[in-house]
Amino acid sequence: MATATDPTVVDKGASRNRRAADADPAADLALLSPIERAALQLREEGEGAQITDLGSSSAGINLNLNDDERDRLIAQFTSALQSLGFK
Amino acid sequence: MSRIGTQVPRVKRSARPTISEPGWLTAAKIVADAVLAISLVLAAASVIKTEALESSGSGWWSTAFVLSLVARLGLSRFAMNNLWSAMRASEDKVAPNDDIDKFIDKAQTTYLTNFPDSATLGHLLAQLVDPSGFFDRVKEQIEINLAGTKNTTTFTVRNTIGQDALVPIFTQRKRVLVNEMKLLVDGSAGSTLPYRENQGAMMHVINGIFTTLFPDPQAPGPAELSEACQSLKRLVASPRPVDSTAVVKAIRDLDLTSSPIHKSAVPVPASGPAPGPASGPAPGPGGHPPDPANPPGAANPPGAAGTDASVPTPAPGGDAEQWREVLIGLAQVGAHSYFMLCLLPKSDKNAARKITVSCQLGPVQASNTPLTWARTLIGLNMREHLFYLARATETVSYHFSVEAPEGMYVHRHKFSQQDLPGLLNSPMPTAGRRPLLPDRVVSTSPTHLHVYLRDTSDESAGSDTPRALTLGMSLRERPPGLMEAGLLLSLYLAVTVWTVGHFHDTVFGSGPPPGTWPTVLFGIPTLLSGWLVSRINAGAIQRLSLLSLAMSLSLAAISACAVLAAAFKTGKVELTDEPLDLGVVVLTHPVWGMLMVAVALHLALSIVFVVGRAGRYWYATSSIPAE
Repeated sequence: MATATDPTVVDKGASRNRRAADADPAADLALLSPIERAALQLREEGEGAQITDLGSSSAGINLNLNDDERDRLIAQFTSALQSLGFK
Repeated sequence: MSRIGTQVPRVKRSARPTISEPGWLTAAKIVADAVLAISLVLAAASVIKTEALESSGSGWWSTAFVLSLVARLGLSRFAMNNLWSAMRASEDKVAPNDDIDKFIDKAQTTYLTNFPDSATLGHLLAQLVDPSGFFDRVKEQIEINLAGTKNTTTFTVRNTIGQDALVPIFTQRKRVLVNEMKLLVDGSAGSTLPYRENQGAMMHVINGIFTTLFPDPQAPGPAELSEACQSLKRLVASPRPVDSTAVVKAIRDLDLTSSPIHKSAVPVPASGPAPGPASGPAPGPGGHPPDPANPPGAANPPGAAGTDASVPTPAPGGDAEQWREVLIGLAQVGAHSYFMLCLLPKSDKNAARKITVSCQLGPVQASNTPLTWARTLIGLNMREHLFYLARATETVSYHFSVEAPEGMYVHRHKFSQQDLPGLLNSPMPTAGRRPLLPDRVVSTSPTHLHVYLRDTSDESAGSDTPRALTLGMSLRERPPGLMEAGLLLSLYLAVTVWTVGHFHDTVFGSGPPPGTWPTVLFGIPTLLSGWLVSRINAGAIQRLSLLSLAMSLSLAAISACAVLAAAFKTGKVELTDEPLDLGVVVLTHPVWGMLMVAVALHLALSIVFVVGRAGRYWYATSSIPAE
């Protein structure tokens, strides 16, 4: 059953996203990636350059942890995994 | 012998998959094209009366031309709207939730079977949310080509678990394939995880975070907990880009106050440990489960670990809020992109490993404004580039180098740092972002741009606001280019036209015809300028400016006019014999006089442009360009 947070309810197809955004930027803006939205914004500001996304390795977030913080968060996470059946 | 049992069952025509358009539509397009072409020629011939070709009924042909043009456009519109959209709609059909849920279950099982060690997933999660703690160096080498850019990225990454590890090397938009991808690990062929295992890893990451927030299945958590977890997994597992707004809102609205790792904000002084209990060292990766009575977040609060000024002040809510931000980040990226994971074979603990990924990238076509459409139509899309340097904030040391295509040089470059939430007009994760990169070294040569960004962990020079770091680069044609070849031809044409103009009455006077030599004389630059224009192929046109293109085309047109004028005059055909007084100059022989003015102007402009471009090249390659 579809729910309010069901992502598939609003899926309108990847291949139409960019064309739709061209026609109505507000309509399918949420389906664009951050760089695509940034490119759209830059285009609207008159940027004429060819925009290239070189990719990313993160989940869009960099907590910038020190060693102790990182160890603590990983320890919390791995203990949770062990309760889920991991060794 | 008849074998009735082996007959192939007939399939209804409408049920067969096809990529061909109906025959009647193709036939109608061909007829419309033919009528369009014929009516255009006859309409033009009826307007331009010639001795060799004359057409009657100009109004009729013009009407036929307009009607056939409308019909042709209508047929194309019909095909685009009714046929291709219908095919695309069937292709875009969304998998129902049941299918996604089954896939999620299978993916989780597959991953758990092949990677049962929790340390592998813990290492992966840490890289996803704290990449600069693992990526010592990232080096991106860009090669610009006609299809876009070829990107070769080399990661120097630390394997802190000393066993098989997973490294997130790429986020790739869903439904877009990576072209010409090659992967090397320490110089040998490497591999990414298969699709199901890859997605299974991400599903377990999400499961693990939710279980971290509420580890006790018996303890009552928020009512929306299970639904939020499943929705996030569906979002990330969805085969197509989806809207993350609802899921992000559900995660933001989750009540985490009952989580054992939630706590109120602890003020952290600028230096020195924060007040509060500090009961021994924090457990390391793969360590023992935390004591429920003394959860890790409370035992070792952020900020109590050391005096490093770069450590961001923990947000109110402590670790639980950090995990919330991680979930939001996963939702916002996972909604439209895959996390591609590379398998890093077992090595010594903390050993530095090199992973090299190369692939072909296309430009981000986010808009179709008239300006970008015109640039693409003309082919001027290789001169101005804007690179989004997302990885620059994901590593301690970042190299970016780009090689100008053959025949071009780096004219100008510029960094910019924009406020990402403002730029996107969208809420982003707000937990401690890596400070901006205050140290920057740029090395340029005529054909090369090398940027080195180093993280000095200087918080005062940075900002906690997420930023979009971009590098703009402008390329230009390197002299000598097409313009200099055009200058030589323009010079030849000017000398010959002016010389013949000086002796006009002698050459084209009332005496006997001079033979065919004037036509041959002016045929030479015509042929050469035609050859020059023929060199403007797809690669060359992307290096040219509009000005160079206009100068080359005008040279060809002037050469053609010269050879025609010479041919007419040789045949004693005078288009006009009345002198033309322009005030500052009198054209005794108007046709030839206008030709002399045209070639002189073209030569003068060519000299100005060539000298100007040479000066620009000299300036760009001999001085330090401003950023």
